[in-house]
Amino acid sequence: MPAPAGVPATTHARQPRSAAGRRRSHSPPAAAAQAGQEANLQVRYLQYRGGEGMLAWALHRISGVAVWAFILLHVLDIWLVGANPGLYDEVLALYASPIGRVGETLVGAGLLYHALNGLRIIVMDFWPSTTVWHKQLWYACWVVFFVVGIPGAYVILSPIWTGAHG
Amino acid sequence: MSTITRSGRGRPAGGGWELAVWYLIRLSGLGLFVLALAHYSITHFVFDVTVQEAEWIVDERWGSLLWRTVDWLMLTLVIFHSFMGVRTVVGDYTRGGVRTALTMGLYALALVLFAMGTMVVATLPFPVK
Repeated sequence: MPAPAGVPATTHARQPRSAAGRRRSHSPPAAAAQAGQEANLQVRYLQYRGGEGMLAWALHRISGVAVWAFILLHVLDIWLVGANPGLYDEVLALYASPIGRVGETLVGAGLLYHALNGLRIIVMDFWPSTTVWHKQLWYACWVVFFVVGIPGAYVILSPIWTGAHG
Repeated sequence: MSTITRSGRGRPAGGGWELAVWYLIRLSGLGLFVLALAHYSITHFVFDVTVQEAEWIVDERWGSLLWRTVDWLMLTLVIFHSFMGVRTVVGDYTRGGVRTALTMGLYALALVLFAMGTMVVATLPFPVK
């Protein structure tokens, strides 16, 4: 059987993936076959699932870690209300500044996405038949996200241009 | 048998502690949907950030036992939910000793933050009327 272009003409090249993957040979033809196979696997990893389902999952994870990081800061600053009220008021001034307000808007966006998509996950976990609508549910999350989020962001950010910020 | 979902962690098959965590993450998430979004709305839409100085928190925000209880409940849920969530992320990207060390570090940090939050909400003096 002639080997396809780019694949070394060895018997190894046509073997099943699992068999070749287990081999740890460093002889040139086998190594080349392995490299080709790794490139092939890499393409398959890049194509891993994809689409709305994967984006929903990735954004849920990113927003979750971001909100967690803010909570570390937030418990610390509220602790200062008792431990060092003067320092707390200085931190509050940072929150009220224009940069602070942009940061709070981003935290709010992360929180809102995580909350809405979290509800979507709960719905699909406890009523599995709704999973066929997972894309539509995700689009519904985005509708609520923007309907609630745009006016919300306006309220938080508008003191920046009206000059009413701290 | 485990149920595969497209966005969440699959329901653990074994039962016991891990299954309890899976349910509690969802239960606390439902609680936080109300508590955390209400908290964000109160601190950003009902009141502007500028007024919320330490004195105002003593006199207004935490002037009643009810609000302190609500906020402490939120602290409890958020510490559990966020730290167990990050534990899932750590578990996905690490293994062996690194995973164990990071998970133990997370638990320790969670306990410290829970203690700090509980301390301030429980010991901050009530306003003198």
